[in-house]
Amino acid sequence: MTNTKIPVKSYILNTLCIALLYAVMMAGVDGKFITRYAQGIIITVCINIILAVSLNIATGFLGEIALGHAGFMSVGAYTAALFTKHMEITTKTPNAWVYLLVALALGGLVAAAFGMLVGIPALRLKGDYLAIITLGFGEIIRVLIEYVPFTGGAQGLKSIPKIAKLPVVFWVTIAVVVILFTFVRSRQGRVITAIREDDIASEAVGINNTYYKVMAFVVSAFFAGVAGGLYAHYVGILGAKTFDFNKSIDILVIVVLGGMGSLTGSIIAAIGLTVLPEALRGFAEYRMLIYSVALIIVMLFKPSGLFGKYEFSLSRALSNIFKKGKAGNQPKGTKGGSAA
Amino acid sequence: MSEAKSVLRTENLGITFGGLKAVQNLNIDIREGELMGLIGPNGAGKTTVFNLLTGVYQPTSGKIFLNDKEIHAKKPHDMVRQGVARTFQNIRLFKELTVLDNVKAAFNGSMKYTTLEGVLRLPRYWKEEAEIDRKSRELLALFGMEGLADNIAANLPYGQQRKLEIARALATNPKILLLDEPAAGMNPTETAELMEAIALIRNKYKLSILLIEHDMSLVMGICERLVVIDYGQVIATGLPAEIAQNKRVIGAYLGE
Repeated sequence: MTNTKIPVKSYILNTLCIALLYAVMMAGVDGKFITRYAQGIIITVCINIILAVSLNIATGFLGEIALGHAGFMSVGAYTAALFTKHMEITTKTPNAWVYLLVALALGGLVAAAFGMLVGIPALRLKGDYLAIITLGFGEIIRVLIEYVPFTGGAQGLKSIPKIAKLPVVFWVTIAVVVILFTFVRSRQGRVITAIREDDIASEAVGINNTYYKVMAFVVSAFFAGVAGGLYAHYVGILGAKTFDFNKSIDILVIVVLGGMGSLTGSIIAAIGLTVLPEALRGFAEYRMLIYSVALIIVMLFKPSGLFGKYEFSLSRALSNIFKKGKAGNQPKGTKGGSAA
Repeated sequence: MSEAKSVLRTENLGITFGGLKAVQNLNIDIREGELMGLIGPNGAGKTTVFNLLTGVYQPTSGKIFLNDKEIHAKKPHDMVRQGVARTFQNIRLFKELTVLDNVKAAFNGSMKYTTLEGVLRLPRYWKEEAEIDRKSRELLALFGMEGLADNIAANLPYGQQRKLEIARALATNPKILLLDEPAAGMNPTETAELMEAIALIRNKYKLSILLIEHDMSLVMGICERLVVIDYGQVIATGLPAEIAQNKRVIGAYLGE
């Protein structure tokens, strides 16, 4: 944080790391180490990462509990799916991923528009009241989707092209994470965390609270829409019931467990909470019990979440290892900027 | 004093909460570079006056002039942009942010890069961030706090938190600074240090200051002029020595 020169070294380091991760993953897919089933889990992990980091902007950094994240996700999912269906994209279309990216952008934009629509009136309220409003919004969206004709209603939207393959999902996730990392470290991100810390003081230093609160909410909704678009093109069928209140809670659990205000925490928790239920399949009906107990244990011993507000930085971790004992006392939770 | 330009002036300023006239017919005039004290017994309406001057409350009557121009501010942040900064009676810092980020957040108004430039880290991001980093550290150095830049604000000792709050207010580039009981809860050493800091920033920034304070010896010592209010009305204005002799003021404080 203290260095305002371009941290070229850490940029190169992080890029190399991501490239390596991608290479290993694709080698695994080619070498059949990563089965179709495992690929599906990785894609789900990626979608959950996007959902969690985007909700963390509203809940962790702005500090407002929002319970309608599944609502924004569904808006993005339906918008993106309707677009590719209208364009008659199939899995055979050459360069289908380009259309997918356009669909994701559209889904994100429409979700962001809804975010603004809800945010402007709702963000006048705080805490419990805002939580209730966003909860209500999520339910309204679900009912509307079942009601209007072009979404397929209660029967669901079928035969969406399954063009969200592992590589494109992976890169979209990386892009979202990088964007949100730099967003949090921009002046806008700083102002948003300042509002979380004290909204009266932030007004008193000239910050337009409403503007920045709505901005955080809109950014959060945009990326929820992107995640929804990926989900639609991975599963291939949408039903409004998927995006109910429970879905919002699932995402919130990831954010709280990882640590409100830590993107790294959201990423780790998204991986853990997606993989854990799968890994526990062998325990059949005890699965959810173990899952819940794991959650309770973490909350008992680490109420601020696994990471609190701490962010992991590869370059800092390395420099700490190499310079052990030699003034490696950089402050925790702040850093020059890097993606996990 | 009379030749100095007026910085902040009110004309018959008042506010009522239901039937309660919390402040009425308030006429004060703070000139360039002046340090004015606002005193009065508990519940006299001092903080209400601050809230009127900073846009927290909308006055129900009267006008506020800044540099002889009438201003209408719907929100506190408008008032800050016009050049009125404040601190709070009960310190309000961005507790979990670092000392440096507390100041940087207040510099937000003077930064121009857009969200997109920030996210993509275009040249203007680096240029402005470097500039704000430098300015923030300079400001902290002024209060002898440059070494604490990376500490979490909540971990500072009380006296330092007060100073940080003032430094943060200065980052908004104000014309006038309103200090709400800056010495409250401080020990004599901390108070002395604080007064030094206030004198320092007055000289450096040519700032006007309006100060609410309970510590009478302190008020008498540093303020050039005093305004005394009671029951929301001005009961006396003048030099500290005059105020100390004023019968109405003595009556208000000690009871008649």
